[in-house]
Amino acid sequence: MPPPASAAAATGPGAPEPAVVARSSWAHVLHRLARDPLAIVSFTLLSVVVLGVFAGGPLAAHLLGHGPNDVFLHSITDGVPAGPWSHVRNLDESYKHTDGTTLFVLGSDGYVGRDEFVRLLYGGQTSLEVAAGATFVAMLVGTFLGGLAGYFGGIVDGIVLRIIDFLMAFPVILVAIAIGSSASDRFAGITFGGLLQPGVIGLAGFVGLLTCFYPARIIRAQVMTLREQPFIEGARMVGASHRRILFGHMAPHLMGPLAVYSTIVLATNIMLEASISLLGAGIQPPTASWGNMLSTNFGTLLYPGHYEPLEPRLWTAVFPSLAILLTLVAAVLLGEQLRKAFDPRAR
Amino acid sequence: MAAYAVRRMAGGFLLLLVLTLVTYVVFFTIPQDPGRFIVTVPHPTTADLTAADHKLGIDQPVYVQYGKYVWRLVHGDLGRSYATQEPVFSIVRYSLPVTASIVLGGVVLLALTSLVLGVYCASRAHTTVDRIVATLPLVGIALHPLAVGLLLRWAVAKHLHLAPADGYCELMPGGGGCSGPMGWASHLALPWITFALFLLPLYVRMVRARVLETLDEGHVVVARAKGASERGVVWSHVLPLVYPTLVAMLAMDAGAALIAAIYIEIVFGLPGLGSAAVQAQVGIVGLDLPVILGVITVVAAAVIVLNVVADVVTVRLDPRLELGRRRYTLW
Repeated sequence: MPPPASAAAATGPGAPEPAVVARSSWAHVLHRLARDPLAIVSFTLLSVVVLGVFAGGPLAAHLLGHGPNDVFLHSITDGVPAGPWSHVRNLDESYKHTDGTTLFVLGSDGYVGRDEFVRLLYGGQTSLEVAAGATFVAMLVGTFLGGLAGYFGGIVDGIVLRIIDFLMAFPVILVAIAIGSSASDRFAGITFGGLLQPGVIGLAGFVGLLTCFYPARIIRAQVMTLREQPFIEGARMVGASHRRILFGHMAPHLMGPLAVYSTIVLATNIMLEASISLLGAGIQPPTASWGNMLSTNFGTLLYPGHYEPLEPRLWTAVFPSLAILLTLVAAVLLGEQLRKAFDPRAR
Repeated sequence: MAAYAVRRMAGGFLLLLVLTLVTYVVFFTIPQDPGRFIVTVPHPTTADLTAADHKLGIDQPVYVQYGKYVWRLVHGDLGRSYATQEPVFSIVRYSLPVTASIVLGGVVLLALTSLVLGVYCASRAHTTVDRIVATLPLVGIALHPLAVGLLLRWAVAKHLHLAPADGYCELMPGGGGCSGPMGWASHLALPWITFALFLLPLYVRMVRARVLETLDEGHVVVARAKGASERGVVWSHVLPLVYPTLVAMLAMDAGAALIAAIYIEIVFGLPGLGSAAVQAQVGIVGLDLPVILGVITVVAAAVIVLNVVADVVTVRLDPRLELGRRRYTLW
């Protein structure tokens, strides 16, 4: 039985020294994050957004008594939608009699007459589901492509580099316009029994494929440097298989970058979802998403060439924009602090 | 250098072919009925639709159609819109100048402001002003150009009445209405600002970093040692080394810039390429493939040409660089 770690110190003169406890690199990272105020703030912010959207949405719908897609005809008077914090008269089933009022916390959503607040929360579910799903796809495909390119090099590397170049340089939104809506229509039915909002699966896959170049580049560079390290050389020398080297020896070194860059890809994907849905090619109404909520400003979006100078209601643009801004800032900030936690010497 | 440009262009053309092919194939896997675009009777029979399909040429196999598309493309013909039967070339001819005006003016504004702000921040590195500017990219990437455009439109155009809120005026006078340089510039002022704001934070950071980096170089020390003023050092010894980086970054962001232009066109009601594509996508009957393909082809060609031009210009500006050694090249 080995002597306790403190035995040597205890036998020496003076006060006994505390035992040195070995910690894994993950424990170090967590330790650094826990002492980093910016990381805590951004993590809390992100958690608040996620909780608020997924738990707060149904809660708000229950408390206010109406869902995200319920239309209130009285919320629009003379073509002007009701402003934030206004009480809107109810209509009964036959749209004839009114009974009581209901509260629109953030007003009505432009020209349809639904509750902006409840839609903002439910739209957040859609946006976050798309962004998270797309990030998962992007990380998976990107890691696969980048790992292959970096590890095997040669012609594989050449092909992957071409794909990366293409995805980086081309305005992909145009392709999204061309094929996005119709492609995602096919997946609109897949909601896993109401777990996901309609249309999420298709759009998430599409956006994920478009953004996989980012992790692919990072992983490729990382694997290329790892390949030359002595411990990989050693593994190869003792006859380890490619699979063993990739999963047993390289994968642990890739977890850090993957964690850091998934937050940044998440931020990009939230923006991309908004950009695509905004043009009517992503999440289809009536399902709310932060992107298509921005587009309700434009009763005339469908005909941009014949733009009618209808005054857009500012708040219907401001609230979804603020929601996106908050989530993105939190995600990017968390990514930055994660990066510092993984590599404390880097500036 | 000419051989290099030709090789890159050829690669670009190949890329264009792949891209249009993908769009074609995906388009034809979508169940829809372009024949309905040109059928005039209210309740068309199958025979009517078949005749319409035949007229549009979409009753042929996909590879025949694609072959014809490429053949026409080589001859400078982009086909006709399904919906209006208008040649796509003329749609592009009317909308390209609008998008080009937005991007060109925006890029000039962006380059000037980012140089001024970047040098200013570099000269006051690690002060409060510098730190405030350093956090801006965070907000910059989190704000959609559409939101920025809407706010500008609301504040500057609707409430302060400093600039027109929407519409486009031709640059050349004589086109009727508000055409002429003044009308052109005043209608595009807000779109330009929106465009510049979209990329500005990133570019200020880049210019600042590049200036700080260059200030440490040997030739700057020599210039200072022989007594050049600080202003003179920045103007003639530092800035010439910033320009190539700026040009290279602009080329890299050409795709992003064109995306931003789509949203700017929507907010400010400008009839550009982005508007044309969006309009072709939201038609009630279905997707107007020739228009969308036309826009994709023109934009991709523009991105490819701009990248090659930027490569050549960058090398001209900084003889130490070598062609084909840039990190991000498109084929």
